[in-house]
Amino acid sequence: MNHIADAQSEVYKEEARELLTVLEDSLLQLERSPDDKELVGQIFRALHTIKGSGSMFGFDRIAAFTHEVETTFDLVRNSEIPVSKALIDHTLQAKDYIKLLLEEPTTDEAPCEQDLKTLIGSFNKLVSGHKETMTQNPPTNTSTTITSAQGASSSNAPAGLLTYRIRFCPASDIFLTGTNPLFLLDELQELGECRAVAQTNALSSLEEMNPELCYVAWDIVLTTDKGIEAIRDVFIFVEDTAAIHIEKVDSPGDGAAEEGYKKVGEILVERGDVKAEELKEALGEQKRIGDILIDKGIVTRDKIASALAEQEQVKEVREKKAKEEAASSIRVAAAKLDKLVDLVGELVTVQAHLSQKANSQADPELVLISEEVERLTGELRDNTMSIRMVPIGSTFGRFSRLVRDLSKELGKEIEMATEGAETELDKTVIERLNDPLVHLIRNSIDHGIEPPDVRESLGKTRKGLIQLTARHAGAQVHIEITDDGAGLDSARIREKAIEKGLISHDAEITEKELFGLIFAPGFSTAEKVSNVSGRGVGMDVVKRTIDALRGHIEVESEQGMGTTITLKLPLTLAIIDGLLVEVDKDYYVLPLSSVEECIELDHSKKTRQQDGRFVNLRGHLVPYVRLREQFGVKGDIPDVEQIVVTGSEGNKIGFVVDQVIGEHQTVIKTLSRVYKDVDSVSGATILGDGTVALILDISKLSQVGRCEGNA
Amino acid sequence: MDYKVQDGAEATDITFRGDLTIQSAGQVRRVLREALDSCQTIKISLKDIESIDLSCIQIFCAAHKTAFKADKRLTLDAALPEAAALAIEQAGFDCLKDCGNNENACPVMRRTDG
Repeated sequence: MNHIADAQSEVYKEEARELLTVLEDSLLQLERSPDDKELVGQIFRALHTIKGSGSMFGFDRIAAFTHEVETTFDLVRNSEIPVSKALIDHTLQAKDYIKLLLEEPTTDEAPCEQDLKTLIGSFNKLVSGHKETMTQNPPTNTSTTITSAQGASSSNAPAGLLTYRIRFCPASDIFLTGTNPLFLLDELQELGECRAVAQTNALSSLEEMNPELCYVAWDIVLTTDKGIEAIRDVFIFVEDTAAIHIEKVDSPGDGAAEEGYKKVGEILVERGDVKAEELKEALGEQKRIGDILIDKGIVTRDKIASALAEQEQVKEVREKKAKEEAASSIRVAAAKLDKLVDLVGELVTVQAHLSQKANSQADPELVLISEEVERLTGELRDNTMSIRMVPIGSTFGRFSRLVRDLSKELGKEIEMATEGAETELDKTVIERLNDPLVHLIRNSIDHGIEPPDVRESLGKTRKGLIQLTARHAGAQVHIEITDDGAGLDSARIREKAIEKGLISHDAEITEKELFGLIFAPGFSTAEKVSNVSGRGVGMDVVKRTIDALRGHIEVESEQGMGTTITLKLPLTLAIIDGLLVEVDKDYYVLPLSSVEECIELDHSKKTRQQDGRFVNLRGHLVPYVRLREQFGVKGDIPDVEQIVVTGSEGNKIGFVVDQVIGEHQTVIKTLSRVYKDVDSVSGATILGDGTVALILDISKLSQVGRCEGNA
Repeated sequence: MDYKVQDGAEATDITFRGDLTIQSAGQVRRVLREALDSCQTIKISLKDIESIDLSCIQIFCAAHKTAFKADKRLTLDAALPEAAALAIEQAGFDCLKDCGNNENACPVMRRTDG
């Protein structure tokens, strides 16, 4: 039982985390568009669900606290409290506090008790401010009664929609008391999907009626998530004189829907024995049960009309629910997904073994089976990888809050824009990307974007812009962080690099290489250290993380105009398409996405350029690296070697190998910590026969190649 | 509220104007009673009214029942101002399509085109 309870708590936590993200996004959007009622509704619904489910799964503290916030937003929803900066600020803090409550292990005392009290006090102040305004400017009858119904909804709301049957027989003298029953029906409409059917049995003839008395009663069907108390509250002023009967008739998911069965007509239509139109025509000729009962004088036509209205409404609610369920997705634990990827990885390795064996056996039947397994494995791999792909938008969304809070702290005005939020990346890559992006954005805010006055004096807009862009580029995803701030000061970077001994006084390096130095450990050109950045710690961490993701960073900057930092990342970290090559008896894998072409290096046709570790490729000199020398492989060098030409960071570089074996689905295995200082290798893979092949880090090897080529 | 009664060869047309509320409910009832006492077929037009409340809606319903009992015909013009149509719908009278009788339908719902 405990296990089930734990699992349910986990499900709640996961849902709550998602809802908190929605809450934060909506709040930040609401700050920009305070009149957007849809956003207010979205925020209210998120709070309502967090509270309702929290209470259901035993997160009482969350439920109680969220109730306070929800009450305030209920007033906002009814346009009784305006959307203000204070409201957004308090609600964002409340969101943080709910998150804290969610992640904190259960303790007797609420975490940060003082913060909690301050926060609740802030919300109470907003509400009491509203009450004072209401006392000074009393609302009309309609709004008073609506508030009363809505207010009750906050305290007794069950989770999910329920359908109620309400019979309302007002006192005959209701008009004389100044009450308009239609206003009460209006209020019920506010609670949800509502249908009222007037019952006029008491109304006989003009002669007998008194025009000042009410002869009408109502059968009402209401589908709402507000709870029975909210319904009772609608009738609060007439409950002493009217007959009111409320009962629940249907709740989606209570199993009633499953009790239905197919009618003979439906089965015949499904089988194709009868056309739908023919069935409809035949049914039209048949006398309906309602008509039969009316003809027999058992019930009045009003009663049948109200029963039909109830039936129709319940049917509509069920259909709506069924549609929602059909369109929904299932929630799977990330660990299970990781396990699935591991298993697919193993399968890919075994499949490679099978293919190798089948080809060596020269058995056509075995080759056929092996090819079929290869095809299926490929499809399984692609599908599994696609399951792990998640849009980067959720990560981008988190930074809106960071930009908002940090710019406020630093007295800057900054707007954040995003593009390509739908771009998908492996979930592991996205998870590890969070910290580097935080560092880069913090740097842009702190060092990049100038204070508003400075910007104005420079002829820029007061408000700075940070743009996050994501887009696919082959087997990579490029993420750009662009700001329209001061840009990098290359003279200052050079000065600092010399001071730190990173370059010599007379070093001739390109601007791109110079900008690359900002990622060196401990490098910072900031005049002062703030609590945001400036210690020179962040950027090398960024570089290390991106390297670990097998990606690389590019910096472009123009002084006074701004900076763009581009993170180039692989789509996935689990399985890649590689090119398998051989040097003596050792195997290596080069990521296929970087490979441009393969050419021969014939030693019998040695040219001057080849001696100098350059090869003439259609008139262009391309440097190359001998893997044999790089990895200290002994043995005879074949007369004709192969050069695998790759493109890395805009430059071509070749890798000399004995033989190119071919494409290979490469399941990436991380190397043990022993190899953590080996730069030129990013991982390893197991081949079909159990041999280990090293996966080369082309970017790192390229640097070696260029140094050797220049030497 | 005011009204106009026009006797025709086939039917008596009654046109109401202004606000049909509880203040005028007695008068509406009287006009309809008189018409039902003297005419076989009555056509009611509400296209020029400003508003209508429950007290008057129920009078039209009662008028219809009275007409039915007396084997007379009472119909309501299809043209209705938006506010009046909404009030009738909110009052839950929109589903009374066959109010007591198939031939002589509820005047609130079975509207003629004049």
